[in-house]
Parts: sequence; C-alpha cells; structure tokens
Amino acid sequence: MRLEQPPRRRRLVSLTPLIDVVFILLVFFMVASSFVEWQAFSVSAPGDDAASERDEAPLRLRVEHQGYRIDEAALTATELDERLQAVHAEDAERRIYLLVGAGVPVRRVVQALDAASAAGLSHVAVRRGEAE
Amino acid sequence: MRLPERPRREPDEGTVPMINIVFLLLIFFMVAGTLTPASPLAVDPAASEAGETAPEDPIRVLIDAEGRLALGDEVVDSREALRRRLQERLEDSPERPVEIRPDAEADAARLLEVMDDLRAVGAERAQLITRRAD
Repeated sequence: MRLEQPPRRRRLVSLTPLIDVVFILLVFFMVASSFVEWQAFSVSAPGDDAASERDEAPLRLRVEHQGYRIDEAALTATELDERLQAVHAEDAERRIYLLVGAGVPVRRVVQALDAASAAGLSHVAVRRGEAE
Repeated sequence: MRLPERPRREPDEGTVPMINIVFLLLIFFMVAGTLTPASPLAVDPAASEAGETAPEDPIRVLIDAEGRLALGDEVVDSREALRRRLQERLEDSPERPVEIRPDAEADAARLLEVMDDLRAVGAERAQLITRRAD
C-alpha cells in the first residue's frame, strides 16, 4: 500500500532575508577581523638606577645599516647570535646597550632585540649611538 | 486526462546546506579573528620570533614609516602635542600600559625620541610591539 505523503508544511518565515543578513555579517567579520599575533618587547632607555647597581660595563652592541658591531668588530646576524650566546653562557644577567646609529630602521633594532631574547639575555636597553 | 501532479519542490531546499556553511564561517570569523579598531596611520610592525604577549588595552603610540605620530586613534602633529596628550591620558589612568607600535621601516631615532617623551611624562616602561614571524 502506498501511503500518501503528508503535505509539506510551508515555512512561516522565508529564508532569503535571513541569508542576506548572515552574509552581511559574514562579510563584515571577514573584513574587520585580523589574525595577526602581536608580541611585545619591554624596552627601557638606560636609566642611572639600574646601571649603577652593577659595576660591570654593559655590552655595547652597535646597530648599523649593514650589520652589528661590538668593540669595532663587525658582525653578521649569525655571528651576533653566537656572540650573544657566548655572553649569556658567561653571565646571564649581563646588560646590553643597543646603540642605534643614525637612519637605522626599527626593523634592525627589532632583529637585535630578537637575537638577544633568543640568547636568553633580557636586560636590554636602547639608546642613541651618537651619545657615545 | 489528469496528469499525476509533479512533486512540488520548495525553492530554497538546496540553500539549507549553504546556510549551514555560511553560519559556520561566520562563527569561525567571529571567534578566531580579533576585531581591531581602525588605525589612523598605516603601520606594519617588524616581525620577530621572540617576545612577550602584547598588553591588554594599552595606550597606543603609533609611528609610521615617514615618522608621523599618532596616539590612540588620532594623529598628533608634533612631539609636544604627543607629550601633552600622553600626560592627559596618564593622569586619567596611570596604571594603563603604554605600547609603541612602530613601522618596520620607521627611523629608530624617531622611536628613541618617542621613548624619551614617554619617560618625560612618567611612563617608565613601554612595550615595543612586533608581529609574530610566520
């Protein structure tokens, strides 16, 4: 026996406006949301207070256009990593002054901060290179 | 002759799976993305591997590639104006963290000037914001 199919109930509300609204919301969130993850470095200009606690001179790392320089010896990024690791092995609390030369973009300063952070050195201060 | 009635198709039957997908996409973008207020300057911070988590609800100082400055959502014309505005904001909420968001190509000298200004108005520590490297 073939049963008669029950009559389909008509939807009370049409779906089309709902879809429109949902699409608009979707487009809004796609355009307005960002997926970039932000990170922060705590930087401080070297003050007299912290510096005077330790009599040892901080490591002076010059940040220049072409690369880095410690005690007049030019370093590439890899050499800098090795050097900072050696410094960390010697004294993990060693302070570092990043001496920023004229016209150096922030990108290079961030690379130096990154290298110091990767080596485990956290006492980094940024100051002007000309101040020497 | 009476023809058997053709089954009537609801016109929007095929759209139901689509609505499901669109809803899922909507929920994904709502949950996974973060809504960011429009920035008054085009700033693309440098990428870095390391770093701490960025502070919540900070007082934000922006430096774009040309060295223009902005505080929060308004462009400031000079360092004096920046200092004045910062002072006002810090008086309102002294506990709020301050972050500096410089463009990767901005002159670092400009960054140092801004740090000097921050110190001058009493914000001892500032966070330098970078983008997590992919």
